[in-house]
Amino acid sequence: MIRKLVIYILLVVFALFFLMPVYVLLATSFKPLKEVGLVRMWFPPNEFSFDGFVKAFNKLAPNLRNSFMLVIPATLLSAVIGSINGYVLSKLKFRGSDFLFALVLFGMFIPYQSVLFPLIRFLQDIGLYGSIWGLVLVHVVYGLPITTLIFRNYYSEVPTELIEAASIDGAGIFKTYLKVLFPISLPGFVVVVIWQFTNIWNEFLFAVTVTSDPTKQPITVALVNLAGSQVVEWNVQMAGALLAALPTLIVYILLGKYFLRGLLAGSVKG
Amino acid sequence: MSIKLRYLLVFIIPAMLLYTVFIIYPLFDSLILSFFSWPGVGSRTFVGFKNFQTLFTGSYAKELFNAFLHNVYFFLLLILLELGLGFLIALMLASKIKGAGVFRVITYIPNMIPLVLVGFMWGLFLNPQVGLVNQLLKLVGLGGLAQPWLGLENTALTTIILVNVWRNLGFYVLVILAAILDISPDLIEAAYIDGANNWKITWRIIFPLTFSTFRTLAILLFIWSFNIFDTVYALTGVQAGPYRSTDVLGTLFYRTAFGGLGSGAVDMGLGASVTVFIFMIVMPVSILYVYLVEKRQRSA
Repeated sequence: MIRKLVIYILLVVFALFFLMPVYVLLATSFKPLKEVGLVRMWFPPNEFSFDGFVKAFNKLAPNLRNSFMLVIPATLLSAVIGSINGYVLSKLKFRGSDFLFALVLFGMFIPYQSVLFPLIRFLQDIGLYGSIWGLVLVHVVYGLPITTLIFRNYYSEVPTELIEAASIDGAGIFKTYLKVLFPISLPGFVVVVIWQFTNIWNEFLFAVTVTSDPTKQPITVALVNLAGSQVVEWNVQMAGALLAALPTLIVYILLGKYFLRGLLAGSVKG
Repeated sequence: MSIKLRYLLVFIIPAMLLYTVFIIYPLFDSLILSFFSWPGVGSRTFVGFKNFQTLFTGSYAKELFNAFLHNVYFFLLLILLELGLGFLIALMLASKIKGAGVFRVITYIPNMIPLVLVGFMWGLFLNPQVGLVNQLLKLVGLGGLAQPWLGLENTALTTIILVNVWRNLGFYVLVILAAILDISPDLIEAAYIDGANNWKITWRIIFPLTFSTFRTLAILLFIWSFNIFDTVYALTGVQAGPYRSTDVLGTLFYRTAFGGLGSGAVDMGLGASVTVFIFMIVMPVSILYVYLVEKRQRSA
């Protein structure tokens, strides 16, 4: 009984540690401008106001749209390509496939800063610099290592007999993928989609360097500009932060229960 | 099953092509660039090992060593906190208490806030005069401890690491929890029947059976600790103040390659040599990680 009590007390302390800043975020975003300030940061709003949200939405709406235009194609493309790679690298062993896989994995550990400049030059060469599509391409490629890894691990649990049976029935490798593997890939896709959606949505360095035109920048860049402005409109800034966090929160709530299960089959199980 | 190589190539070549153009080529470009001097525009001048000399024994030696040690400190403290606290919280969540699901979501909430905003938010909370943290300390009678956390040389780096822990701990909790839940409950039941206490079960059964997860996480933490950039950038900027006390290899790279307010001449070549140094540290550990993943595949 005492043990349970100790556990609860500890968990509540941790929960406070995690939630306190989130509370301030919420409280501030619903305050009218006159209540905003460091001194009253702690207190709940005296009167609820949606001014912060309205203002933030008006300022950020184009960037929110950009972020969706970026994150949806980039997530889906990197998931599909990762799934095909995972299939080829787990089920169709050929000479050098292990080496190829190892090579792909290394891409996970490359510091983004180190490839930034040649990358930008290349995007300029092919005329995609400064556009959302350039950013989509970058995120698809830099997502490949993790999506390939997750799908490869996921497919390696699928019995090889299933694949062989399909091939005896005369299905080619593409048909086998489409008819046998793809329909059972949902849990793998869920993990990959959550992972990629969250990471691409929140990414900043590529976003700020690849797109320089403010009307084409995704939400994270616009938020930093908003946060860095001299005017102390914290209600607007905090409301903007909440608006920016909302899509990932929704994705996590909708798909979250598969996430834990997927992680088990994913990249981090030793 | 036999497959024709050309079908295979059709399948995998688009991905590999993209990968080569976007990852392998830029990486080699950086490597080559480290032997040149280049202000970012115009032509490159071949300088041989001069960049590395400047870096290791020349005018940047002190800054490089300073930043490197901070990365090491980053890694050690992250191991202790992310894995230690992660294990503790995961154990509590695994012990069939009511509301475990709610706590699990709560620990993961900070992960959903964009990192750059985490920096902005914590910058406000850590404000020396009216920030949340100091007010809280005063509230519980520890006002004497209140200080400009990010403004003092001996607290700034640790503070940044703690902010990092706040942001990411949920991820480690989730992964470790998943590993713990993967252990067969019969095993733990049997140990209880044999009279083992919680302490023994934790260290004789749960820890050994989840050890491989800890190992993998430690490797990933190592790699991330040496690639760290965003958090420092968001909290103390590229100057990594005060007096470079929060400088890491990532911010040092940024200053040498892209410059920054008040920093000296920009040389992409010198920046590239910092990258090569980071890569030389991270590469062997990455190989170890890939090896472990491969081994698991074989045994699976």
